Amino acid sequence: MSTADADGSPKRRRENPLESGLPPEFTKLRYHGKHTKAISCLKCAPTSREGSLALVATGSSDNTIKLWDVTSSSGSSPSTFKGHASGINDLDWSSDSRYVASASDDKNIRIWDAPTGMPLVELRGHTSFVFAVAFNASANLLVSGGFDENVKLWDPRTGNCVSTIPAHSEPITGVSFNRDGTCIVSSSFDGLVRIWDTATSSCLRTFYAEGNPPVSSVSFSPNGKFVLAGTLDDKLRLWNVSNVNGEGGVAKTYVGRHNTKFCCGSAFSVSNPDRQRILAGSEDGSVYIWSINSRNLTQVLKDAHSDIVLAVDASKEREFIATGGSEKDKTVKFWTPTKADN
Amino acid sequence: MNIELFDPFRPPIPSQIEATLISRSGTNSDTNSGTNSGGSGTLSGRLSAAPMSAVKFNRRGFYLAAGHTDGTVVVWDVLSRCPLRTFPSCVNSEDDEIGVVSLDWSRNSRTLMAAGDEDVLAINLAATPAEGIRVPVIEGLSRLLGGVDVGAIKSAQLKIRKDTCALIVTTEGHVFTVDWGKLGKEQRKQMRMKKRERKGKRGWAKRGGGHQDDESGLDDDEILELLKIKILCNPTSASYKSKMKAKVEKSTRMEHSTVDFATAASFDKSGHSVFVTTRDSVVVFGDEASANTHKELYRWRVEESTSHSTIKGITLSPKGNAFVLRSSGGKGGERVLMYAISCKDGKPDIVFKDPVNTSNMFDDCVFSNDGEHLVAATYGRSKGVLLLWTSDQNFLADTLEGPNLAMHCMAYHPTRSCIATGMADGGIDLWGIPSSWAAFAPDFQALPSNVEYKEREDEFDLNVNVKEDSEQAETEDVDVVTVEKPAVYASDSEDEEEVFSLKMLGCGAEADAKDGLAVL
Repeated sequence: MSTADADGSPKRRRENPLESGLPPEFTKLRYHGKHTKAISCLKCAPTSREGSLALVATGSSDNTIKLWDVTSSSGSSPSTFKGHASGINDLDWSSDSRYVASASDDKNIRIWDAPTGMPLVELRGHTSFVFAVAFNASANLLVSGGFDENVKLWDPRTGNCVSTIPAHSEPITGVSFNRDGTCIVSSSFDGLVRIWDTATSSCLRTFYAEGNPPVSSVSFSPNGKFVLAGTLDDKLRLWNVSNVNGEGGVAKTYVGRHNTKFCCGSAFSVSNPDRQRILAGSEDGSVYIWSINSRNLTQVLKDAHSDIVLAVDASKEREFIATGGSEKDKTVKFWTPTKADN
Repeated sequence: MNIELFDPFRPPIPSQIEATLISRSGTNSDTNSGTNSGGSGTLSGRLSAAPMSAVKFNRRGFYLAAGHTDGTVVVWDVLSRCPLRTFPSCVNSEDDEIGVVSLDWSRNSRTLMAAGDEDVLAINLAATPAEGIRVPVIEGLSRLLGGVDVGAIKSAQLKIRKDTCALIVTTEGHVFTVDWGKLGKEQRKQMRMKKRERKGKRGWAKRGGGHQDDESGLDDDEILELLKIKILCNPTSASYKSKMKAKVEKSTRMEHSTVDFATAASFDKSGHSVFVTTRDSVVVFGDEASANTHKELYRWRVEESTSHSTIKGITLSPKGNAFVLRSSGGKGGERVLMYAISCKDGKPDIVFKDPVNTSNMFDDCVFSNDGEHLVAATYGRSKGVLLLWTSDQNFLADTLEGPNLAMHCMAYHPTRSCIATGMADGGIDLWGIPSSWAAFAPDFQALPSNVEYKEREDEFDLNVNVKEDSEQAETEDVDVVTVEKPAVYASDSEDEEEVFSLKMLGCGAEADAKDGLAVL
């Protein structure tokens, strides 16, 4: 990876937010939680109950999923979903916050009833680790990607595999539906990001970053017009879906974080129209937050965790960030806007 | 959302069966073998196995409503190819094997209208099953009209942008519009009770869960007052006419129609005028802006018609600038005739005559979603066959052979190249196009034959000199939040966020339990 560092670090041109004198946008809540092994993924529920800040599901290498109901003062003890025979790689909520789908190294996907923690369906069909999973908006379709290099579409009601797309030539690292579920985006270690037509499973777009670095995470923007992809050259890129194919078409590039080896997550935080942010985990244990349009770092949650941050997500309801640390850390932490500026 | 990403030069017509939606019990038939990876879920036997009688995509193309000859209506999820809702015995189908003759979605997909026999039903898909999904709009048409035998409903179509108004054609040649917008919630509830009562009397199997109420329902006169019925064609004899008039007058103003016996009818694109066909003519009724009547605007005799031929069906193109007639010829065969409507005088010009003047019986005929193709389903040589013509010329673009089954009905997907055909065995075939492999690599082009490729000296050299990302190039602001409405839905009144989607009822075993609820 001789990209950023070799030809003059782009970081140098950026203002360091910690030195700019601006107050930090987000501060840590006292409430936090712990898994017994690394936290590999987490997702905020699309909706939370009244009086609660957010409902967060975390998946861990300890084979369990925990549900954290975070309130402003404290939080209750989490409920734990046990059943997977191996570590959890990814999870997703249905849009009504009823169901959680989890992808695991045991090659299976499970759908859980969130209020009770009951496993409802097990989706079997991947021949290797399942690395990514996502619901569509109406929760009548589930997409998953795995180390068997396939993207699979599932009917979550019956557990049937609807179709299999031989999508990439290396393990798949991320899958996501667009807003209305008509497109799927997938990313892979083969360096490609591909957009698929859900109905026909045909490939609509293929694009890649300069130098073809492996892609570690991918997601559609909330309106489905952009794709945010993290690559193992430390960068995050925002691609304009409608005018890309191949190289180019990059609308924004976000630099500053360290990511050359692991699939550190990224997320949009757009619930506040005046503070639209992109956040991403980093291998130095920090979480980086950029302003979407200016591409400037607005805050670095410095040493948020004592190990690699693989899991980050922001709530869609309000400004709320959840982060999870890897093996040496094992904790999930929650961040809310700093009191002074709201 | 995906529409903007489509290659505008893709093959525009379907060419193979992608998947089969099977609602009968048992295993997959071999019709599905040899198709691509699109698996079809075989479902347990709780759905209907009766032949298909009507299929209809919703406006967004996410759902497919399917009607069976036993009166069952099933709403399929097109993407997961799984049934979402099942409504058994929507219409009375005891006497004959007609079942659901017409299905139509409201523009916002919240209401599904089903018609058949003498019943019209509005199914509210937005409500939860417990609140009562079905609303019978008309139950026993002839009885409602004072015992005048108007025949069974032949077709029903919802008026565009008016979800409570339907155009109904009966087997005895009557055409009328019914508007049930005044039917309040309370009255609908009473009608539902009434229906249950009546069903008991008629010896129908009562469905469980419906608790009888002491409150008596509305009587026919009260219903008639609430329903706004406008009669366009009324071929009954004078004595009957007066009898019916006495009953209907309260809610309608009858226009003396010159149409003796209507064979088919369709709203135009705007819903303002109605195309009615008789045995040999097409009559256009206009809707005067505020008046409650329909006035005959234009009448035109089909030149190709003979004394033996009868026009059997009319379909308007999606752009509203053409219509196609299905006409049964004198020799036992049927023809497809297409006419373009010129805007100036409303006079149609024939642009298309089905050159295959054989003894084909056309079961259904639809336009493609862009109006550029015409698809007709027929059954020949013990195979269901789809004939695809380009609609601006007399050109047979493709002939698709389906399984060894008759196709009873079909629908063209509103945005994709996809045709759903309802089969005689109760299954639905989805026809699509083979996937475009060219999209896998941006610079990839399919070659007609293998060629030897000579690579340039430096062609596959790894270029490590990645250029500096240009700061200036990325200054343009991006909007990752605002949802834009796709151009094809620009005329919709609802916001993108409000687009209706059916609630998922449950996962796994839970779904089975909840499906019981869906069956009211």
